[in-house]
Amino acid sequence: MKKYLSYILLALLCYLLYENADSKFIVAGVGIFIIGMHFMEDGFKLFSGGMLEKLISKSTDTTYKAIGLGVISTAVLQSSSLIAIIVISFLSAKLITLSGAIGVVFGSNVGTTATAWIVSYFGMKINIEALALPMIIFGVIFRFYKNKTVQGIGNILLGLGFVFLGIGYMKDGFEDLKQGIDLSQFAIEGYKGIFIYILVGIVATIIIQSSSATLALTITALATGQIIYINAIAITIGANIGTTITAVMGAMVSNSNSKRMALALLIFNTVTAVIVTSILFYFVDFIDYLSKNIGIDEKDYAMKLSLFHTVFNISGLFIFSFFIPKLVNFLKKLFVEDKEVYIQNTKFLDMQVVAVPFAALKATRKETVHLYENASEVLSHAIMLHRHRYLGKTDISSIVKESTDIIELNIEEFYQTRIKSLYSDIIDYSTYFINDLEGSERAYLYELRSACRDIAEAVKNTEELQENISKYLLSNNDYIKDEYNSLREAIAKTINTINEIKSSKDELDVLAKSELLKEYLKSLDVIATGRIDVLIREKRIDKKMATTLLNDSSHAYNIINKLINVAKILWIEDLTIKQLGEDYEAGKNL
Amino acid sequence: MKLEKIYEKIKEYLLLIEEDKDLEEKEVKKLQEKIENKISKLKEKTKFSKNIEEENKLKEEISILKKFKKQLKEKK
Repeated sequence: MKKYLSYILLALLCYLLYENADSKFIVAGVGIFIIGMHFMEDGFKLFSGGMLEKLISKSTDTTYKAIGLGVISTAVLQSSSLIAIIVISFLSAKLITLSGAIGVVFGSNVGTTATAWIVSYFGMKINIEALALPMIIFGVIFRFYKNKTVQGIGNILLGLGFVFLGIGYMKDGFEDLKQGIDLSQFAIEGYKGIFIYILVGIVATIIIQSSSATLALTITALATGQIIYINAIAITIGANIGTTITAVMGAMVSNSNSKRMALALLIFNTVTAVIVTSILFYFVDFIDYLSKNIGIDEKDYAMKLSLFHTVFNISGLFIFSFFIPKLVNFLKKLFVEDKEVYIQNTKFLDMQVVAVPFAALKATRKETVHLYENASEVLSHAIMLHRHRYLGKTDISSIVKESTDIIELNIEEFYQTRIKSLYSDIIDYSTYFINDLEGSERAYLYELRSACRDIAEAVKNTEELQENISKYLLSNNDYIKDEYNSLREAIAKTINTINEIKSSKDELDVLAKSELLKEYLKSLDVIATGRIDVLIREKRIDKKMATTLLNDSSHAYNIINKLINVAKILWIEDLTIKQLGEDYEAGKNL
Repeated sequence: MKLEKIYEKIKEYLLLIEEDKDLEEKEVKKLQEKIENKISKLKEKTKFSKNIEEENKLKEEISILKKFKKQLKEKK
């Protein structure tokens, strides 16, 4: 259906270009404008160097902050679609809440009205074509620089140049068209015209796939007198609805978060449109009153249309800002997230998130934490303990001694289904965005990968240990039993300390606790402490038991060491503290 | 003319590197202060500690933090 529709549209376009030579300037203008918007979006992505993503991930804790961020970032970036992509990615990676995401996107709706101001002010008042070409020239030159920031500036200049050139072409096209056909003869007054032109706005935006381009087209047509003001207002309302229909169509085949966001936007724009349309003539009078007070000329319809667009979206924002919590509940009930059928499934690795590498990195970190959770469960069972029995307790030593029940567990099967599958998924996922990361972020991804490897190896190391623990836990020889209990205690204490580390917000505390664990690890070494000699010499254990104990203490040592490394990677992100830890380790090895 | 331009560019880079170093020094100083604070808080805690095991743990943590402090001092 979609394919045939595009063929029909192409055929219609060919007919239009053939029938009316002047229309080619308008169509080309729209095309150039859209290309410009794409370049600007890419440029800001490069120029901001991940700053925007960091800002969004940290500034959406309250709805009003989220709305403010959406307004400002979109007004500066001139791309609501870029903001929407980042927000949906963050939401899918569970880095921000649904209400925070909705706040940003609603704010973004107001921010995007800045485009109309640029078009109506710069596009109609200044000879922007004179600016466009130098911008394109310098934009292309800057793109050849190696520095990403300069490349970003190049793309922004190139984008702005194309946007201005596009507006110029549209303006010329309408001026030329005026000589041949007068489109204003199709003007329809009253509510009939409003409904027809709202539909025109919806259809045009769905076809062009950009409400900014529809608005630019409308403003230029209005400025050249090809449409009347009230019809242009109706197209603007239609464009606002049209852009959400595009988002809804895209979200239909996407995850529940995208569906929630798309529907939230559709409700926002449609309800605002219905309210404003029902009182449109009063609203237009209000815009006239406002225009007069802020110094917009009575006949400057292009500027008045921009003012209408902004006030229209601010009104919507004002109405909806009170209902965001209710909307969130409604959307959560309507689009329920897929429940985890099997715990071995990944929880955070959403392919949509890959579009924003910073969010994908955060999602990978969260998934590695999930992998660690699985591993800590299997490790606890391997040492015949349940986590709820010892986590957060101070008397772990006595808990270990009391817990003598054997927990039947096939480690190999557990490893294959719950560790290796997740590990493979994380590695596979990271390949999709590793090339888009740079510097410290790429280095962190490498660290996360090595943390995953350490977790997998720690689980592998428990196989033999588990077998011998179950063997000696019920032994009549108290000496060997005590030795194995001390190994169990050491692993349990490690998992317990990491559990404390996880909830600690002080990264220095995390480093200190990790190093303390390493110190504690020394007590496990049965050779260095001379314990093994005493046990053999005094015939407390036999030779076979001794070698088994030697091997298992080495396994336990490796498990704990790997878990400490994992904890440091996952819960220390401050580069200075990380460096301090590395220097300290290096100092110890000297 | 060309040499002059290269000289200017080098000067700019050196300034940037210096600023970066300043920033690093500031971060280290901040961390040192944080360690100091933590040590004094832990010392305070040891005074009110009720069992020996907890007291030993706190003392060990203080000792590690002192080592960190020394490490940072040596780096300077």
